[in-house]
Amino acid sequence: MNVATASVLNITELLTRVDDDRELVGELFSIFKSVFLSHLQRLSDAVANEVPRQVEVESHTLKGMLLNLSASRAAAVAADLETMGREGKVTGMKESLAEFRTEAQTLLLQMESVESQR
Amino acid sequence: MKILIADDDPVSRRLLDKTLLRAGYDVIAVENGVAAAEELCRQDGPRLALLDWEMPELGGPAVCREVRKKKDQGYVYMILLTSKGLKTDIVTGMGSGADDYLTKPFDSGELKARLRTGERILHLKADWSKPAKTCGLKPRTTP
Repeated sequence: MNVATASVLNITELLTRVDDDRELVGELFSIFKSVFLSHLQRLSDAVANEVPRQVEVESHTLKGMLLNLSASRAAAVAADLETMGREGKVTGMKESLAEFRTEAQTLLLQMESVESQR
Repeated sequence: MKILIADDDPVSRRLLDKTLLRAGYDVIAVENGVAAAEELCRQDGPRLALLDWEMPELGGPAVCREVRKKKDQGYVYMILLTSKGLKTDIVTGMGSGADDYLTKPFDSGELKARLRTGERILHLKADWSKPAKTCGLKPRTTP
């Protein structure tokens, strides 16, 4: 995955995956939003406390959810964090987390925009 | 046909649930590996399963190993779901007793095609355990 070329939210791809079920897309967004903040908090704690294994676990979970939502950019940053966690590489983690927060914020705004068009 | 979904990710679980319900399956969804192993080890449990690779307590490969230990039940066709792309991971997963694997994010067409393969294998297994009357053959027994 490449952050630079990935899209924030590929709604066309997502709709194809759910057989054009817009109601299901809304439901998936809602599920994501209900669990996202707690995962982000645990990820932030793991980065702050420099616990690579926990960084790997939380990033992996977030990456999986984001991939399912066709949110490639945020998923790509989560994948970078997961790799750092797996390799025990603490240097650069805080910067990657900041990047992830920015991508996630953009994604949440796009989700709202999509939902308002329903 | 009954199918088990085991995934701790609620987005993935709902997506799989809806896709499989639409495809006509009778879906049982659980969010961890322990519950998955319990369901699959029941005599009347599902014979098809989609198992997330990484779950708390018991991951997909560990569930496969638990299920394969049980000899007193019908065959369970298990597909691992993974966002891991490394060949070494895949080899490890298949070595645990999984029949197939699918990479996340899954394509619904590919998912359904792989499940149909699983159903064919299960039907063949069921046929194989019946006496082969038509051509006078007996099922081969392992020494």
